[in-house]
Amino acid sequence: MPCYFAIIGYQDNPIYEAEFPFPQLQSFPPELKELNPFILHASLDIIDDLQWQVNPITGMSNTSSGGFLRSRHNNSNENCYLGKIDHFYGFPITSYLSYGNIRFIMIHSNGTGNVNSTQIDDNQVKLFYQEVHEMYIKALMNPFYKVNDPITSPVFDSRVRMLANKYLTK
Amino acid sequence: MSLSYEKYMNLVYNLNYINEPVPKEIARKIVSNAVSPVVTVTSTNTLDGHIYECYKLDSLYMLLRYFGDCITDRDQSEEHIRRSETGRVRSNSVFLRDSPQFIRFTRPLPDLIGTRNENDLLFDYHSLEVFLANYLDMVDAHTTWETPHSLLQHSTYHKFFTAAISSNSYLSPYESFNHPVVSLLAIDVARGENYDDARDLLIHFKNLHNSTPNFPTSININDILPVFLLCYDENSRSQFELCQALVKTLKKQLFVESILLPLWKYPTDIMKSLHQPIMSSLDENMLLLVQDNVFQLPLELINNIYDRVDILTNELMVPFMKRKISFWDETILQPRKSIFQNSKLFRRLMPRNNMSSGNNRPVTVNRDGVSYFSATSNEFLLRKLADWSFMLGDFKVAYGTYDLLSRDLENHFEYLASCLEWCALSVLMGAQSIVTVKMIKNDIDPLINRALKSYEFCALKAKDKKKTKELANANGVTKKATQETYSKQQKTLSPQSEPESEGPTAIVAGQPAQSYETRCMLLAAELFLSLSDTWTATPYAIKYLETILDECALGSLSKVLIWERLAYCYALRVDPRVSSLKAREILPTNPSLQSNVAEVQHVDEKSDSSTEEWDSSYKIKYDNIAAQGLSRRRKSALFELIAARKWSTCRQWKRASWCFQDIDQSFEDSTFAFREGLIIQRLQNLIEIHEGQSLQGDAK
Amino acid sequence: MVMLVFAIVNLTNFSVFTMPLVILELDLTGNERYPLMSRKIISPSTSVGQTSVAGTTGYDYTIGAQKTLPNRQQEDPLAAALYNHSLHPHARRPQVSISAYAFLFQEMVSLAVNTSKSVTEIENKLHRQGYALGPRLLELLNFRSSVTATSSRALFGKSATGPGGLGGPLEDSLASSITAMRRRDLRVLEILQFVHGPVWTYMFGRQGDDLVKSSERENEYMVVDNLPLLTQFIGHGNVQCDAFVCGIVEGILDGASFPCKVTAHAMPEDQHDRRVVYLIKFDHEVLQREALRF
Repeated sequence: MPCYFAIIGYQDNPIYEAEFPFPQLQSFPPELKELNPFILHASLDIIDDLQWQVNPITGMSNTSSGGFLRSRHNNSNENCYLGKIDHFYGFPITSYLSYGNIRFIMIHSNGTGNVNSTQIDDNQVKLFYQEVHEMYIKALMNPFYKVNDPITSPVFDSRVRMLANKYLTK
Repeated sequence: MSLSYEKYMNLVYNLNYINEPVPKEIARKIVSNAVSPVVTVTSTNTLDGHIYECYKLDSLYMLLRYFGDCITDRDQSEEHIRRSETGRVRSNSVFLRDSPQFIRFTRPLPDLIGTRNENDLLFDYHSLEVFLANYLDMVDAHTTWETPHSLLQHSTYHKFFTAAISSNSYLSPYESFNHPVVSLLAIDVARGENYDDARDLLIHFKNLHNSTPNFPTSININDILPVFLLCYDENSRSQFELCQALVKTLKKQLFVESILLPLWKYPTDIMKSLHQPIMSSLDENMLLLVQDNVFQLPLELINNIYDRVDILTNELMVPFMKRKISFWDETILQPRKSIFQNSKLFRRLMPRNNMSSGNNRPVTVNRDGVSYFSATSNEFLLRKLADWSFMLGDFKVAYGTYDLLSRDLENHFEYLASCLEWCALSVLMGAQSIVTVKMIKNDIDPLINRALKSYEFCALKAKDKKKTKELANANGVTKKATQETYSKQQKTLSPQSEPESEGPTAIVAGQPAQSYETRCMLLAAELFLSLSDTWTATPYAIKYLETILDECALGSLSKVLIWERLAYCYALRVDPRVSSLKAREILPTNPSLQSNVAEVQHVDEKSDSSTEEWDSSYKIKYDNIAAQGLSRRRKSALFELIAARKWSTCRQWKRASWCFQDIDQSFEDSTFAFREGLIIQRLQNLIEIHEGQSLQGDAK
Repeated sequence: MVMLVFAIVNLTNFSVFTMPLVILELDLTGNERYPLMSRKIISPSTSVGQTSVAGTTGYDYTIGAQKTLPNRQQEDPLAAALYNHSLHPHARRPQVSISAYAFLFQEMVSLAVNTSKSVTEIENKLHRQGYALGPRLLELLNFRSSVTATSSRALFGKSATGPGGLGGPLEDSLASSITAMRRRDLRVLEILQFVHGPVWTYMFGRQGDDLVKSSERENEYMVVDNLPLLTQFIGHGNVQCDAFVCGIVEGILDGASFPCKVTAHAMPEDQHDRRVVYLIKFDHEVLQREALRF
């Protein structure tokens, strides 16, 4: 399934974005493609809300729309991986928060427009986010990188895509 | 002078109010208006002829319909008597004498029955769409690209909302809101009509159920209050005396009250234009939109009519309704309560027939095999008791009765659904200020969900029935017709292409129930939005609106309106604590805090250097972190964006541009939004092109 | 500014040993904010034409999301080195010598002194240098504390092949072995304990000496250090060189979304004549949020 992934900084500015055209260069339909950044932007409202909830994963169901669809496998009290936070036309949106509250966020779609068949494997997605988080920290270790600036490194780009390949293709 | 309810609903004719805020409690007003008591207007041919000569209106009904709706506002007379604003009683008190009062005028009963369709369809999605298209065209014609749009957007939605939830002409067998309460029988004394004409009218009215074919079993003529309206010439003393005598005879001989209306011979120097009635059926609305002309009446006459309408409602209709309510309460409700209250077991022991005693056949079955309760059955009378209480604003009684009734109707899904729906609505209407999260979660939402499920079940049942029938007839016409309707709904944007050929045969099986379902969701959503705690209530409104988008076969324009409404819902979703925080920030309070700041700064100044040298540009910037996550403005922007895109695909460029102006503001600070290839760029270009074209067209 | 580079390298305990000397000659005072991210500066010898190949150019802010496939072959080994290092707590020697530390700091201070006109400006400069470290420490230390004993497998796996070795770039990852990430700190007290505990331990080898809440003002807290490691060789003067540590703390708290102001105050006590109190003054909104949320 093609995914649209973004890392969002403090002023809601994207500091990294990528589209993962898996499998076989499958892509988003054009009407979604032009809307993707805005869908993510809208989901930031939900993330902001979850960010300050003590149990963002279980506390979800009664505070926000779409909560009833969330997967519950994650019963630990983690609050970095937020799981499925939102959906748009049936495309699930998952999110992850770094310790510096940089937001990692992704739209999963199956590219066919068939709404019901998009399932997310929470374990895999969570691992993907953790790995990207690690990669982000490495990028941050670069003394010439300033927090909240776009990450333009081709190596970073390539690594993130490799991770996507590893965890998000099924 | 603030914007009145009626002016708001007809905003497109009152564009000078365009910058006003939305009137308070608008949703409650619309709902009250939509279920307000119905008055049928029957007049003699002589009277109608006379009216046509004087005022160029076809009948008395055509004249009076301008005076329905919010009668306490007297919106169309110059001297506004705003009683509603001076002595307002708490909205949940019993019998709101001082709250705005609404009534509706309709055509005579035989007309209503004649136009009634067999399908029990509230509205069909297609004509709603056509109406909307016409209305949008009209708005388009009245406005420019620069017209301030926010109030107009609300008004348009409420227009659509009104059209979708109400219908004057449709007599539902399942609820009694549209059933007439008063029948106005009018004769023209000025043209020599007298007691005999009045008596004939009354006799005809009383025999309607025998003389009218297909008279619905759910209407009981005896529950309708006949009132005579005697029209005379104010300048003629003799006519007035004649009327006075006639009133007495009518009262003595026929036991019917009368109202005198000086209808003729007014100076025509002060004329006042009348605005469109708000609650009229879709067909009437459509007709008016096509004609789009304005009627004028002398101001004095307008005031006189308002006075008479006042007398009609406050002195005749409301007391009549209260009498009836207390009668039904004593004879049906109280006995029911005392024996059976909450005792399911006991009820089961009683044979069902006993419960509807006094009527040996409470349920009648029509030719499609749908069973109806007759107007005199206990079930329907209870329903009527509840409906009338609702109309009079006594939501507590209404709620209790609906609740009781819903237990009796468990096997009649059509009745049950509507009963549950209004049960929930009466809570929302009556207890607005005291609705809590718990109430919504435990009472209101489950009720609405149950109602929706029952409607769905009805739709399924209807479909099944249709299918078996189709199989029996062995033709696939209906299915094909359905597809046609659908594709036409997609395409139809202008009234010219309105397909006349589509008769009632094209109506999709199960759509009647679906139209109710849609109404239920629209109503619930709008009432949820009107609650004071928007943070907890809006998610429900959003849920219902999204369900409508997902499941109902609404036309594309209607859908865009709902998208736009969703954006508004999200914009409303702000935690009340946050809004109070913001209010506090504006005030220059907290002097202690400011002195703290000053103190600390003083500590910083260990040398003679000033603190201004301290450069904090490298710090991470946050705006208002306290309110973070407690509002949904970005969601709102997204939905507005989607609405703008949908308007553009419907070729409603001005609407799209209005939406777009709001979006532009909310994305001001985000540079990513204006990248090439994203939707904002594309929309901007499209709108600019069309704006240019239309402006050029105007210039020519 | 050159010194700043080293300060970061040492303090975050993350030596970028492959960093070419070229960087030291760059003029970093200009607008070039993150030259290492751009391959051209790191290895000017790479042919320019290659950069236009899809998948090798990296993220472009003005274009947005691109759909390309991962491209391992095109990776610049020099640039990739950064991403090949392990973040594991035991991946490097955890300590640097105090003398190196002190010399470096001395250079930083004198740089600030030589380029400033006032005391405030000196402190501002030190503060700024510290501030840049804050968000990095916040992420790194939290991430490291998520690594449990069982997940140190990744470290040993890596040490066998060496950094950037044959194991492939993704084999070294710590994240894949983490079962549960440490919780983000949501409350003021939690984040202060993080500063007082792990952060202090990481920077100075021991916890802060005390964590005190101001009795007078709701939004003020104090971290007490009886013997500041960094400034122990600097005499009492009117320049507060601990502004550097203030910057670090402020950066951490700001990064964790607890905006605040941190100032250092020398407050000698009987046995500790070098005692420094770091006064943390949170923005009013932080308390408002706490009242709203918890």
